[in-house]
Amino acid sequence: MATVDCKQKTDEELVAAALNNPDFFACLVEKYEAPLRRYCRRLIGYRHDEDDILQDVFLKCYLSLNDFDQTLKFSSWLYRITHNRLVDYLRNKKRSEFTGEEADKFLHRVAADTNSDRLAKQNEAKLIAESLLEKLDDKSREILILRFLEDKSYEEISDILKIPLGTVAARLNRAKLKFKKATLNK
Amino acid sequence: MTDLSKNLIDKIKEEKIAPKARWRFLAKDKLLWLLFGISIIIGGLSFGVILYFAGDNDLVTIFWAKQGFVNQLLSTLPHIWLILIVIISYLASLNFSATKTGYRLRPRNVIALSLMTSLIIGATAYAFGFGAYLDTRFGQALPFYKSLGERRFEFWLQPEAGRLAGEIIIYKDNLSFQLKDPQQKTWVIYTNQETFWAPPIERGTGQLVRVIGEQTADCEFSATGIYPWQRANFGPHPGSRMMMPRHLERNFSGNRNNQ
Repeated sequence: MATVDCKQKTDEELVAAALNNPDFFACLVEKYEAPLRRYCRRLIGYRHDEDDILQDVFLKCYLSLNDFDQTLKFSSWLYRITHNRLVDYLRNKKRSEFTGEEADKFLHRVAADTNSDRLAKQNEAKLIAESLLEKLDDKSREILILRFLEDKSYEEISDILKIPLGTVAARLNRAKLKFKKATLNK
Repeated sequence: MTDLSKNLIDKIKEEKIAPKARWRFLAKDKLLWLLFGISIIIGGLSFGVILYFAGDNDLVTIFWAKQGFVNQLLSTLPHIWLILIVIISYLASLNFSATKTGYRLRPRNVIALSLMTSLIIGATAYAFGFGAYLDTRFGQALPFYKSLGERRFEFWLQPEAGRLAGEIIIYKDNLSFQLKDPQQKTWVIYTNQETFWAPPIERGTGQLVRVIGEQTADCEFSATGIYPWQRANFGPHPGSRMMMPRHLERNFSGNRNNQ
């Protein structure tokens, strides 16, 4: 396989280059493999077919390179493709659990955002986050993960989930309240 | 290079996989915009007919209907067009949302926007008489569809309810005239000094009129008000001749230009 220099190129430049030379697409795959793998795990948990899912995502991305809208961030577009693939996956299979580290990070970020000191002080953070997130509906769960674990802005979430900005804010607010309510009832 | 990227690039090269052509994505997006535009235009034409119903319907006379204002109002609503505009607005919002950037607007805003645009197109269509034209055409083409003209005739051909319509065939004096209704029945209409002749109606033969009053005998009617068939306050506009169903219009022989 030929090696290409992609360090100096932006995502958009890599997309343009990958249209003529698939080796440039390898740069994009390498850059986003780890974040997308993490996102997959956060949304659907550990899966033995994780690599297959990611390969599907990158292949779909490659096939649709000509559909990439330059007004979007490439990462948002790639996350959208991933999200859609994971939603399809979840239609047939149940979610699995977070890891302890993931759950802890998530818990503290939501706690800070909702001023829930009690939550932040919980010693059984992992158990709480796991059980609470498992109870949340998919929409609440996915938006909380994108905002607090993937650190996506409202605009990016809007582009990933293909929903208006106002809906992002409203849905996120509802999800936070659901999570907070669940923690208080714990 | 990671295993995933290596496997993927190998697969792409071995199977000679290439990105889908740009025109396919462009065509899909343009098609969605085209469907959105078509939805807006159909919605506009629907509004044109709805405005025609609202503007040229006998809303005031509905008050006189014995079966009650609400019932009569509901029976005269252009149900098909109202349902159509709801469906079309929904489809327009779906099409818009499916475009590349359509998701950035809330569906309710898209629906409001499409309704507003349809309203503007509909007002224009109505002003040029296209609402009346469409209504009449549908009435002629679809057996289950009742045009406004047919509805009006049904409404006004109820002498027992105090409503009558037809053509003045003999006008003698201020006390009576003869009227032929669309079912070819000839009526003697009695008038007096208190009978209201609504402007711009002219007393003479060949006039198409609506008569309010009371049936006094089998073919006799005492009039309290006489109104032109075409509502005067809206005036004749292009397409207004279409208000009369063709099969009823054939029953008349007089001059309609003075309506």
